[in-house]
Amino acid sequence: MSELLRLLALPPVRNAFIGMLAAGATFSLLGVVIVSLHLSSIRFVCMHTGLLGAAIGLALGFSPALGALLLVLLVSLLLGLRGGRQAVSSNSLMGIFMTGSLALTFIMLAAASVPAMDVFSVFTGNILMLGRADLYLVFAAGLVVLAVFLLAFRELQLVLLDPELAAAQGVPVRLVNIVLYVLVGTGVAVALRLVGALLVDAIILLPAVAALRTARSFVAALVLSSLFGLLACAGGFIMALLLDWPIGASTAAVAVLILIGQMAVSRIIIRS
Amino acid sequence: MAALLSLRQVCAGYGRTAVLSDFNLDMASGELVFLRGPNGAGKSTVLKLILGLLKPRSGDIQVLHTRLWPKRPGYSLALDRLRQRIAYVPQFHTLPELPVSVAEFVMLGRWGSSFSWLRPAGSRDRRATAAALDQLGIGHLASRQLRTLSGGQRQKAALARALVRQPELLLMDEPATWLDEASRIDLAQTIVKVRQLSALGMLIVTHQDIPGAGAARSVFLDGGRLYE
Repeated sequence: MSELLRLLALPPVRNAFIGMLAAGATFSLLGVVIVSLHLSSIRFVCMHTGLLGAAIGLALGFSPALGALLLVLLVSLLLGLRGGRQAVSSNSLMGIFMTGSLALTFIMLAAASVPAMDVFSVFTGNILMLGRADLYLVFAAGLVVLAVFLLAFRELQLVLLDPELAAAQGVPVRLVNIVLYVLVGTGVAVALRLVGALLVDAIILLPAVAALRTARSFVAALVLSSLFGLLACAGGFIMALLLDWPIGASTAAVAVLILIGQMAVSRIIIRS
Repeated sequence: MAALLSLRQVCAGYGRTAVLSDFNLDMASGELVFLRGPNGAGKSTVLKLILGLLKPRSGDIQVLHTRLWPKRPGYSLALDRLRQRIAYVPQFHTLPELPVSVAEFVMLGRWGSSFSWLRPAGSRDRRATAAALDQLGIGHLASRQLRTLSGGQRQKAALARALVRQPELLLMDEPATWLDEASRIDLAQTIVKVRQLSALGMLIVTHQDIPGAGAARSVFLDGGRLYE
């Protein structure tokens, strides 16, 4: 325990721990949106465009993380703007963005001599390199997510339950969808920095899946999602420190265990 | 009787596809109208026009004595106010991923007419919800999850959600499609009951009869035009 406390007192470890807790408690709310609106593929789009953004950032001489964040925000805004239209399906757009981003990334690696390892660092994340500015970014993004859920709680519930009925009642469904897409993009972009593209689901999706399987109301789904996200991040981080494991992988492992635990408990409850 | 609804020479469609051409429909206060027709005839398009979810290409639309189209200054505000007086029961496609109790689902029907942005639902909304559930005989289902209900029960919950808005005009889209014979009879009896309790106008889009729903006018839509 004293070893754990000693490690947590180190500034890079402390920053990383606080960042993970903030992200786990807030970004997991976005998982409820992803599941409800069937937006699973938007995560992959954000991950791929994040890679391209990192390459652009390096080619233009600024931070790959900032490049990834800006491009992911732009693409999620575009997807949100197109979300409700019929002319080109969202799935087609997502396919274009995913494959197109990868193609452009590899072209940039070759043509602009961008260092491949720096670009692909987006895929792995580096939580212990989290600086004060990164931490503020996590807090700011988390606070925006929380604020939107608190201020537009009923409107979000209406849109997530039935967008057609919500529109008939006068809810500005298109605007709500755009906000939700941008929030999901923001969450994924910031989570990329923390745990890397391959483990974004550990923070965003898995806690929400477990929460939606348990909850009996929208409020309960949000509260449980936040709690499961917090538990995955705190548990994974502490486990990584104690066992000297990678933080992202440990967080993902705890998130998976939470989901398996939820499934086991609900199966026992159904049988009894 | 004053016209509750009037659509005159309305043309509407999606992209390059024209769905309605020179479409005319009038409805009086308290009237029950069945709008029938084959799949793809444009029945649901009529509902979207009335709800302001689709803009017509031409024609005049008047709903609850409010001119909706041609568009006039203050259109958005007029549409918002109009939607407070209309209730809509959409077709059930898929069950929502979100957990929601029947009572909460019904109470959401009051969004826009009683509570909305930064104006939370209150005790008045909860009382109105309980009354609507009792009116449709599903008060005992209030705490049940919506996704655990049968098709007929879900349809009643959707109707309760519409009625809790205390609308002057009720629009229903294919309410009987997924119901078995017993639930269809139950729906017809519910419609009769609702009409006895309030004088709201009802426009029901359907491709099959709902026998026993009471005195109604049936109109048939085909090829973008309406036949009485």
